[in-house]
Amino acid sequence: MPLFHSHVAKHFRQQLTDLFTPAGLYYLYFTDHSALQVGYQAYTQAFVAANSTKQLGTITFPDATIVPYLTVRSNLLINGQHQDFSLLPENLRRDSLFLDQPAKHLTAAQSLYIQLFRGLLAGRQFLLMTDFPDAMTLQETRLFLTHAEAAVTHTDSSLIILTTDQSLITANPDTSWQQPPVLDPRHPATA
Amino acid sequence: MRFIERAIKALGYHRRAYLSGIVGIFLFSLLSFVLLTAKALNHQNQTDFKDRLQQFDAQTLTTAKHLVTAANNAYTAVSARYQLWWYGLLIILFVIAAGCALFFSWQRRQETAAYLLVGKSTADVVAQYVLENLIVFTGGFLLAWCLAMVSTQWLDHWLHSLNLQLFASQLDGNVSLKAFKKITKQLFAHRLTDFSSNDLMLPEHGPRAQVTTLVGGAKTYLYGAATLIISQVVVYTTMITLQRHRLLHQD
Repeated sequence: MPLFHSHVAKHFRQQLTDLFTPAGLYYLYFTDHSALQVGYQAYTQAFVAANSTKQLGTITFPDATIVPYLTVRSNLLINGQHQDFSLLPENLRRDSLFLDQPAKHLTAAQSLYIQLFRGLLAGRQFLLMTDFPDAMTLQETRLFLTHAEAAVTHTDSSLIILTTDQSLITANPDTSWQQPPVLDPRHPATA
Repeated sequence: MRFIERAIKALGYHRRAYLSGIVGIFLFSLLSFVLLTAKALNHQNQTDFKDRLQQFDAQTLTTAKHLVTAANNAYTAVSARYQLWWYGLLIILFVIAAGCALFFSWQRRQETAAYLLVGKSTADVVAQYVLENLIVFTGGFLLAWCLAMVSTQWLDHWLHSLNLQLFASQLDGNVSLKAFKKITKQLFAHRLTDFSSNDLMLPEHGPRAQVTTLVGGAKTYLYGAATLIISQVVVYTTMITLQRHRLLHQD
């Protein structure tokens, strides 16, 4: 029933707002990779159950979400453009050669940037990310976090990073969880 | 616009598979043109046969009633056979298109997952895949049409021989050669006609009034495209719905 669905979505949105606002980066700790995958599935399924997939963007690696024959630009705009292109870091925005090449041979870091900005350009308010690829150096990870923080703050969105890296949790005590919170998509009346 | 762009880029990316698709559609279209043109030619032959009968008086025709009925039945049977073959061709297209869609659903599962995970609907993905196939269908169809157009002369000769052969085999079952000779002898006795007894049923010799025009272009395209679309929409929708279900409910 649409009315009931809207109540569920509203309740779910309130949960998300309570947990992941103000806009910024949030870290959820998982003990190992398989626990992280289970957590990721539980979170995405909660969005689906609450009929809120339009608010969710995903960032995964190895990624299944880059269409290889489309250009990088087309992949960025695959879900439409609700934000200005100036949101992208200048070096990426001005690199027409890179933006117009097919997206089949992206590096791990490039793939993460594309998925991040694709979600933000599409106006997704919550981005769910599954840890950093092993191929990324510490410096690349820091740079990504810096760009991501600036972009999510600018768009009033939140990037929720599911990680097995304890140091990220320790470094961000105010926006991280040792025990990831459970998202409950059920309506309060049925919960 | 991005929808069209995705379809065109995918055509380039999967060009090997789609090139074999073009060859398949080319063969389908060519066979369809041949069958539909042969059927039209057979219909024309039947009309010409009726016109030739007008040169005999009613009383003479009464004596040849059995032969005329047998000839008309033979023309109808040849037409029915062409029609049946054409339906068979559509069924083959349906099955092959479904098989290709099934194979492609598996081959493109990662790409499909990418679309589903960024929030594209099943209908959106199915529409893109079917559009790609429709573009390929149009390409194969146009190639076949061009080839058939430049081969009209040869096709006319070949189809005429085919019609003659099929007509003769149908007629042989109903009228014996002896009866045929007897009836035509009675028909042509003291008659002046612009054709001989050999050319009464189907003019076998001499120049024909006009070369057969290729027909069935619109019918081939519309029925072929509809068969392809129905077949692929059913398979892609089923497979992508299953994939979406697996993506959302995997443990």
